[in-house]
Amino acid sequence: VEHNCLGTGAYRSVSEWLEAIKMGRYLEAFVQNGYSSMDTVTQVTLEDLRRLGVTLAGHQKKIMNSIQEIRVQLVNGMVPL
Amino acid sequence: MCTNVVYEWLKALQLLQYAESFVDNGYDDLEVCKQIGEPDLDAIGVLIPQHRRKIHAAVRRLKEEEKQSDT
Repeated sequence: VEHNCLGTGAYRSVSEWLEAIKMGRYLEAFVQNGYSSMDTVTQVTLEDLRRLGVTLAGHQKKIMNSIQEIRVQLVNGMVPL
Repeated sequence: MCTNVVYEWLKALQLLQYAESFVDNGYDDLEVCKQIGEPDLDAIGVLIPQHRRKIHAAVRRLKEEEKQSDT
């Protein structure tokens, strides 16, 4: 898996984040289910994704990988939330 | 854009035109490609029936290879 240099934790909004990983189609589902800030997004689990209607394995993988990267950056204090 | 296993896999199937869309949709390793079904191909944008059949057959082969290496 290649590493992208986009600075994954630097997203200012859920919309910006989902667009950046090309998963913008799920924005409405995220917002309607209360995941309307990057703060709440970092809490999302695979179960939550299924509930949001993210059923495709590839999309689940992409979103979970991205959340994982954001969490790591938060833990390392690289990005203030 | 670096090459990965999915790129090589699609190249062998002569379906390299879909490589970018596979990766963009999160199908970037063979483990996740094993889970490909109709809805996945819809999302990736593989619309030509012949190409869909080709990918389904290749996914079946991936799963069979997995079973064999398990034993």
